[in-house]
Amino acid sequence: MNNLMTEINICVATINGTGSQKANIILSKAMMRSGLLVTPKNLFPSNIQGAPTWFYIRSSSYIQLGFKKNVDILINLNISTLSKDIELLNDNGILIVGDNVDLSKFDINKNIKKIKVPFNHLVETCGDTTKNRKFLKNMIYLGFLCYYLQINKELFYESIKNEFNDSEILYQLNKNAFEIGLQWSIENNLNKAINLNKKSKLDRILIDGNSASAIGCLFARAQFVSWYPITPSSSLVEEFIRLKETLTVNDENQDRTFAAIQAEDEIASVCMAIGAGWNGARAFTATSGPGLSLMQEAAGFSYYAEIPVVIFNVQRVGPSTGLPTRSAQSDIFAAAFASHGDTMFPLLFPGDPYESFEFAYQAFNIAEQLQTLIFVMSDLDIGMNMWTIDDLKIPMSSLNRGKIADVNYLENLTAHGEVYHRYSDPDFDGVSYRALPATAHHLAGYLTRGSGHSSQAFYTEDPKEYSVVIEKIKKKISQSAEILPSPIIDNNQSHIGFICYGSASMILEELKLILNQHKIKINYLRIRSWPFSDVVGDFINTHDRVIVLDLNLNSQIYQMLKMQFDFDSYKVRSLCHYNGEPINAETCVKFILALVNEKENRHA
Amino acid sequence: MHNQQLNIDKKSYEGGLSTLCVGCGHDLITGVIKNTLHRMQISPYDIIKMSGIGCSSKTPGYFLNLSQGINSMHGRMAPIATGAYLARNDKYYIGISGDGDTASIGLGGFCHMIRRNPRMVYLVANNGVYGLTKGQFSPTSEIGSFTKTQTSNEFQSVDLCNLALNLGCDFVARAFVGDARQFTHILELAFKHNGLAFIDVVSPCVSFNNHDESQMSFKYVKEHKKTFYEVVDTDSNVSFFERIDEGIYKVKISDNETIFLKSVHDDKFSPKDKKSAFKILEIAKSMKYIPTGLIYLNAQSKNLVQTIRLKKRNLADIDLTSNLFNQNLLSHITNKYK
Repeated sequence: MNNLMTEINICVATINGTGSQKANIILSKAMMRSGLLVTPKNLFPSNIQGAPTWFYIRSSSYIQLGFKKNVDILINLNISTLSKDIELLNDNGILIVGDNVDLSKFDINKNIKKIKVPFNHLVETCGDTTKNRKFLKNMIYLGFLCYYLQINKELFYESIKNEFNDSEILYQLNKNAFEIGLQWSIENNLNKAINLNKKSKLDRILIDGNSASAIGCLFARAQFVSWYPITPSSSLVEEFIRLKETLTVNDENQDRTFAAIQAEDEIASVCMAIGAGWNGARAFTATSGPGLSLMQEAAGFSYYAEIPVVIFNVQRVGPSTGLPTRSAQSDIFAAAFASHGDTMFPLLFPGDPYESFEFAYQAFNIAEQLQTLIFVMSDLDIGMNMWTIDDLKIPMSSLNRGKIADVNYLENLTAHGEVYHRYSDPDFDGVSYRALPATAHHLAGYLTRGSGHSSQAFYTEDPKEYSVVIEKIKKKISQSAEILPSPIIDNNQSHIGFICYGSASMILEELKLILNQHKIKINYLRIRSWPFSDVVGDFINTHDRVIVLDLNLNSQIYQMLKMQFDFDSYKVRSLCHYNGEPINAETCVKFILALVNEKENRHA
Repeated sequence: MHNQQLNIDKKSYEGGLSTLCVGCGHDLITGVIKNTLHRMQISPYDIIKMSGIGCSSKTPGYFLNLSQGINSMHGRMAPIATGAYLARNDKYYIGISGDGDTASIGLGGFCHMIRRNPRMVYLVANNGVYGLTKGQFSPTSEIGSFTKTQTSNEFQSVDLCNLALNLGCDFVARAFVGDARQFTHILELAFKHNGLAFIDVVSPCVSFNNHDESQMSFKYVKEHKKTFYEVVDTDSNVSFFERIDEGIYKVKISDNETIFLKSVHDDKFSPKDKKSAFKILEIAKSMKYIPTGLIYLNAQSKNLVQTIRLKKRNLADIDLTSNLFNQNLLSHITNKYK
């Protein structure tokens, strides 16, 4: 390890339920405040207490880094995983364990520096801590890291204060434990401190995508949420409710202006949101794989009856229960073509929590403009991990409720001797005018139905009447790309293109840097919505080779691209990552290098 | 919720032409709904219609064309209606479901809707049979009853009134389409109820379950129907619930309205006593007759909007124009993440 490093990777291996996550968030925030870009990744079990868990914090002063398994510092507070965890340590790395661990039993590279910390003894010196003892251990190692990473301890105080905002006692207790850890490190003259060349503090925040989405929903003026708890989506709804409660229900006597209902299952949660959306509220639900499966029939109803509603699908690894606490992008097909019958739903792919915020805001506009159910396709990595992003700015676009057939609109029709048909296409864009329930006008009444209907919303089995409506709906969705978030392109004058979406975006800066070291330049395109814009097709057409990165086994976005743009499978290659861990840049580098070499061999 | 327009003509409550079988009990329900709402002079613009899927769920197309509504999915009327009600809680809601729609595929939704208690009239057009799929048993078919093709039902039936009572429904009634007078009185009372008003409406299926061995035929129900409490009169300015004479109860159902209930069957029972209600249903079951009329009423029901302290209006009108959502608020929120 150099004294002046450009990056550092820390792993805290512990047992879940011991409070280390809070400590690791404090550490991440202090590092961010010191001017570093931090990438925390929490690999946690589907369990409440007693199972192994790993918290990674990768950090650099220059670029946003992705996930990496090899670490410079390993803090192990879980003996059961120690032998495997040691394998993750880089040569010259640092291993921190309790002083009761007998390291002679383990095969450890001699260059690794071993530090045994008397955690239990140090915790005892913290004062009356019977209840909090196991939590304070975490503050001790924070003290060491503060010393080792040469971070101003005031930044830790601020972060501890931030986390224990509601309790002065807990703040003091944790601060004290942190001090004891720091003091111990100084006194033991560990003398191995590094300097990460921290940049000046920028206007950044460390936030998880679910919280950012919740803020987006708040600013989109969502008034209705119905949900069924499921990892990793629950915190999105809980944060939305918390925000609404604290910001809008100030007074005991004041009635709420929003409704939040915890439903009996995901069938009910999506149905309630559809009922509310139909009745004019801005309504949403949040779910993950198994919940999405249960919502299929209702999604089709919403599609065919043209009812706006937003679903946040925070993806986890499937199939079935799968890996509930691991990330994937494997619900693309299930969401894009949710339900039986001919359907298609616009999908938005936020690439980081900033876009989780922006797209949440936009999703309600899009759902109402298109009068349809729309999916925001987040995943556990964006949703539950914290990302360093720029501080949020209020969205530029204003609220758009789409085409509404209000009393004025209907009066105007009457004055021109025209009639109102709920599902007609007067503007030739496939989007009809929506008369909201209880519109007090004799033309406004109609019965919304999921059964075959004519443009007048009457029941029909007539081939022509049926086709006109179903073709109209298909038209509005197929042509929706222009109002959906457009792809982001990074053009480096290459003939090789790299396409990815969602949380995979996190590796792009690092990937570019490593490929530069290999003297390879490629162009990047980040998909942000489906149906795809023609820009994506042009990107594929204008490159000799294209790599499409999917975080699923079945190449789902690759297949959807192929469906829309019909390309040659030799030219466009699928790269799939699906083991539940966040994607790392090295995996992509290997694939790209192999492809480049393959090409050269072919020419030779 | 008051009558903005007086003298709304009967025509305003009309709907499309029914496509149900000639003589279907459900068409009688449609008639009673139109008449009741006309009698109550509730504006069609203040009414929202809900249904699921099945013969029963087709009926919202046959009344109140001026109103809006949803003919939703099989078994999903309850959650769809709950969401709709919360978004716009200042309207009257009427939902019509069937025995398959409610007691089978939609049973979970039905149970949870009762727990939540939205202000809505929930009718089940109950004929003990799947009509649209041509004559299969439904969960409300009595054990031992036969289909038209002589298949016997081997399984216990679901008594929706009993279930509703059990789950805490504050308004439980049973009507029979063959007694329009009684049904109208119950329905009118249901619209005045401050929560979920559940009415199990026995409505025979003339095509598949009206034969001699059916326990849900017009003939069987007429012969085995017993009324418990009848709404005999309404008055105002009377204090809450009291027994005023043998078999006569006064019930204050809102600030300005009181009804009189007459116990037709047995003065030992009281309509606000849940134990009586369970007893009535038990006795009826063992004696194989069909209890009708009001079975249980708690006039102090607390509906969902009151429970979650929601503003009594259309939610969408509220914060779309608010200027609270500015950069200051956003910065205040994100401060926590710095």
